[in-house]
Amino acid sequence: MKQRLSDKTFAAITALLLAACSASILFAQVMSPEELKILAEYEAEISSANPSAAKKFLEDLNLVDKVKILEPDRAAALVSKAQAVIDLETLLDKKWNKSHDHELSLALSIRIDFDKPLGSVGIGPEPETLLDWTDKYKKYGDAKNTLIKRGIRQFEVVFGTDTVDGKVEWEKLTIRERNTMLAEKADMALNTLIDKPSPTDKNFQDKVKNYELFKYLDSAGRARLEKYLKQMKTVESSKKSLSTPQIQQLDGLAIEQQMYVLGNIFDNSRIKGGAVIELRIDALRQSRPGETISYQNNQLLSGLLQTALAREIKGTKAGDRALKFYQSRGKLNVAIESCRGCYAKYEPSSNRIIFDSELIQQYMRVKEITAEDLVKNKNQLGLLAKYLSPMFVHEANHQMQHEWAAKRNVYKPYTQEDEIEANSMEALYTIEKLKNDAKFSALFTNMKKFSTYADKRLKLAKRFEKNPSLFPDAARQMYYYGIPSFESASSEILKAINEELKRRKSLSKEEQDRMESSGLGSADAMKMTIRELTGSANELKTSALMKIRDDLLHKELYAEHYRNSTDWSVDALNSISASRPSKSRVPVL
Amino acid sequence: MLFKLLILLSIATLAGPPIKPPVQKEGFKKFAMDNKLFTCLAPEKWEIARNKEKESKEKIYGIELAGPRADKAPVVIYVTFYSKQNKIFKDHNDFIERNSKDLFGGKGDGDERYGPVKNTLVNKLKAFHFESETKEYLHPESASEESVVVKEKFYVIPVKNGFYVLHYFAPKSVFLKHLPVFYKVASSFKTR
Repeated sequence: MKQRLSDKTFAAITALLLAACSASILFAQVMSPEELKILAEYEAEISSANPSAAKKFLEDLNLVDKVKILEPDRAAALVSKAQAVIDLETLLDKKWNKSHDHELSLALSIRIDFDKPLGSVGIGPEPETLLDWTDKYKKYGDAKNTLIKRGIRQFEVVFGTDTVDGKVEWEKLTIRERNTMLAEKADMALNTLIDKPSPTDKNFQDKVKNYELFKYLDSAGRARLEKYLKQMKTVESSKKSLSTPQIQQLDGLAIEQQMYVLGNIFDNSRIKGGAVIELRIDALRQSRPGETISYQNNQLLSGLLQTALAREIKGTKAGDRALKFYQSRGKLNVAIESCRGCYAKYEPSSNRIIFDSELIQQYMRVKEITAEDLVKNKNQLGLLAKYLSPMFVHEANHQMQHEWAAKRNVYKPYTQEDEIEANSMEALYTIEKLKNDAKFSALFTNMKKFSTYADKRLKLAKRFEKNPSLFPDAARQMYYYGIPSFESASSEILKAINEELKRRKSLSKEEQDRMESSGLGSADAMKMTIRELTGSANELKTSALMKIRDDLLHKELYAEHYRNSTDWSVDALNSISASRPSKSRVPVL
Repeated sequence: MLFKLLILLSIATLAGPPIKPPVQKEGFKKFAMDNKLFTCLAPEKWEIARNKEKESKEKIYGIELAGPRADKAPVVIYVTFYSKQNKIFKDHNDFIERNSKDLFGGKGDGDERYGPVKNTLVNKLKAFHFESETKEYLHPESASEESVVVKEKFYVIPVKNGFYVLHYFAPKSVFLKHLPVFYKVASSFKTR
C-alpha cells in the first residue's frame, strides 16, 4: 500500500529543491571576486585609453560574455570604449604618407569630437588630447608625430610659432571645426580668384593648383576649384584658334565672363576644330538666358521626365526591380532643382527624387537644345531620360532603402552599405543598357568626352563589372571613405544612447517624467542623422532611445538586407549574357 | 578673436621642415591559407584581412594585404583562390576578359588602358599576366572631378578546380614603390 507523503515532508522537499535550483542559477551567474577585480582593472585601464588593455579585454571572451549577461549596460559601454581605442590605434599605426595630413585629419575628425566614444576615455573633443595619448602609449617616430600634429591642425603647425594670438580659442575647437574654418577661408580665397579678372596661362594655373590653402576646401569647394582649373585650361587651348582681336575680348574679364564670350565666339562659327572646342566650352560655361529652365517648364518637364524615366529603365533587371517597387509600394515623384554639388538625390522629407538643374542645363548646352525642345519633342525628352537613367536607378534604390526601414519600423543610419547597394544597382543597369541599347551606348560614349557625369557612370560600371566581389572594397576605400560603415555608425549611436540612459538613472523621478513628456519621440528620432542622434540624445524620450537601441542591436536584420541585395546584383550580372556590349555604330547624336 | 584667427589664416603657411623617412627594409612572414590552399610571404607591417563569411558564401577564398594608403586610394594585394563553384566568374577566361578589357571589349583609350595578356610563370606555375591603368573618380555622385589614377597588375593561375589570382592595386604615384612587395608575395606563392 502506497504511503502518501505528509504535508510537512512535502514542503521540506520542495524547499530543498527550490534552494538547490536557486543556488545553481546563482552559481552560474555571479562573478567571482577575482573576475570582479579583473573587470575593475580593465575598466580603469580602458577609461584611460590603454590600447593593450582594450585589446586584452575584447579577447577575454568568457569575461565579456559574463558581463553581457549580468550587466548588459556596463558591457556595452566598455566594449564600445575598447573598440574605439583599438580603432584609433589601428588608424594611427598604419603607414601614412607625410603628405596625407588632410586625409588623416578627416579620419580623426570623425573619431575625435563631441559625443564620440573616445571622449569617454579622455581623447577629445579637444584635439591636443590625442597628443597626450600618443606620448603615453605610442612611441611613434618624428615623422608620424609631425603628421599627427598636422592632422589635428595644431596651432603651431597652422599659424607658425611666431605668434600665440588666438591659440587659446583655436585649441577649444574640434578638428572638424578647425577644418571647417580652414575650408571657409579657402573658399573665400577661391571666390576672390573666380570673381576677379583672371589670367589663364599655365603658370597661373599651376599656382592656383598648388596653392596650399586650397587643400582645405570641402568637396563642394574642390569641385569649384576643379571646374575653375578646367575653364582656364579650356580658355588657353581655345586661344590657339582665335584671332588677336578675339583674344583681346577676354582681357580683364572674370573667368565665367571669358567662358561666356568664348561661347558666343564659337557659337556656329567656322573656326577649324571649333565644334569640339565649342562643346567643351558649352559644358563648362554658365547657361545664358534662354538656356535655363523656367519655372513653368520645370513643372512640365519634371512630370514628363518622371514618365520617360520609368519607360527608359523598363526591361532591365535593376530597372524592373525599381519599377516593381513603384508599382506596389513606392510613390515616384521627380523634381528638378539645384542639388548644390550633387547630380541627384532622394529626399526622404518630401519623398522626391531630385535631379540637379545644372546637370540638365549642361546637357542642354552641349546638345544645343532648350527646355522648350525637351517639353515639345518626345525624342529629345527620351534622350535626356536615357542620360539621367543610371542616376535614377541609383536614387530609386535609396528610396527603396528608406521604405524598407519604414515598413519594418526600424531606424536606419546612412552608411557605406547603402551606397554599395545603390552603386551596384546603378552599375548593373548601365552594363545591361550598354549591351542592349545602342542609343544609350552612343550617348554615353559621346558625352563622356564633355561631361564628367557621363564618364563617371561608365567608370563605375566598369569597376563593378571587373569584380563585383571586390566592388564593396572600392566603394569603402575610395568612393565613400568619409562615410561610416554600419558597424561603426551603430557603435557610435549605441554608445551615445547607453551613456544617456545611464545619466537618466541618476535623475529624480520628476525629472525623468518631465523628459518623457517633453522630449522628442520615436517618430522624430527615426528621421535623425547619426550626428543629430548622437548630438541630441538628451532631448529624446527614454522610450525613443530604447527603441533605437533595440533596432540597432538586431544587426542581423540590416546585414541580411544588404547581403540579399549583393547576392541579387551578382546573380543579375551573371544572368546578363556573357557577350560584351559593342561600341555603338549609331552616329553621334 | 575669431576674426583674428581668420587674419592669421590668411598669412599662414603650412610649410614644415622637409622630412625624409628612413629607408626601411620590408620584413616578411609566412602566411598559410586554410586547407593548404596556398602559402606565400606577406609583408609584416601590412594588415592581413579575411572575410570567412564571404568566403563560404561566394566560394572565393583568400586574403587582402593592405599597405599604406596614398592619394586617397588604397594600396592592396589580393591573393585569392576562385573555386569552380565561385559565384562571380565562370572560369579564369571570364576573369581575364573582364579585367583586361574595357566595357566595350577593347583595350581602352585616354584615361583607361589595358595591356596585353601574356603567358608567364609565377614561381614555376603557368600563369597569365596583364596590367591596367585607370582614372578613378573619388566622388561618383557629385560634380567634383577629384580623381586618382590607379594601376593594377594581375597574375592569373588556372588549376584543375578553379584558378588563383594575385592582384596588385595601387595609385600610380606609388605603384613602383610597392611593386617589390608584390613580387615578393608572388615569387613565394605556392599552391597545394
